[in-house]
Amino acid sequence: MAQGLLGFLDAMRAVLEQVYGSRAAVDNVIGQIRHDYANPNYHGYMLMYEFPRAF
Amino acid sequence: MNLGLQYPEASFDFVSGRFLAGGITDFPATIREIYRVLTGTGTSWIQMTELRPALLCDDGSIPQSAACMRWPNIFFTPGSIGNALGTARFDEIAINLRAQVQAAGFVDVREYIDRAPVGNWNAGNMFPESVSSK
Repeated sequence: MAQGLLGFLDAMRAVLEQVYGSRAAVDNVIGQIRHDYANPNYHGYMLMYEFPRAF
Repeated sequence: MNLGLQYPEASFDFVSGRFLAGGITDFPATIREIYRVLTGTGTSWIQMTELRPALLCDDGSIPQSAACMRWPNIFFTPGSIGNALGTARFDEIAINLRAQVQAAGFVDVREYIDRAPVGNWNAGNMFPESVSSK
């Protein structure tokens, strides 16, 4: 999951540059996020909605 | 998908879609199309899976100020730059999917809401039970 989210952020670099002001600032933020995802003491999750059957 | 499915009615026993929020512009129309191409009641299934993009944490291990907690607000909060990108609607897509599946005519709809780990699980809680199912 973390790799997918980092891939999304990488694809959105142009948008992030508008938010953070520079390429260096974006590199720094993405670096922080990558570090957070790798932190063994951080236990985060997203909610996944599934509809396994119908009809 | 946004142009309709290029298959005749009753073509499939099973249609699965996962994490399509970024590609489908009209979910209700797409689900109606899936209903059309499935073979019929009692013989076919639809399976849809979508994520709510907010990062959650039950044990307080991640501070709200952490970069990983803050960045989703840039793209996925209504009123953010995500409005222009189309990403601000991702959260409501997951929430509304059940109602849209039912509105398309499907019956025996079962919703499961699970935790998808981002990074590491708490070692004492490796496989938490589903948040809910109904």
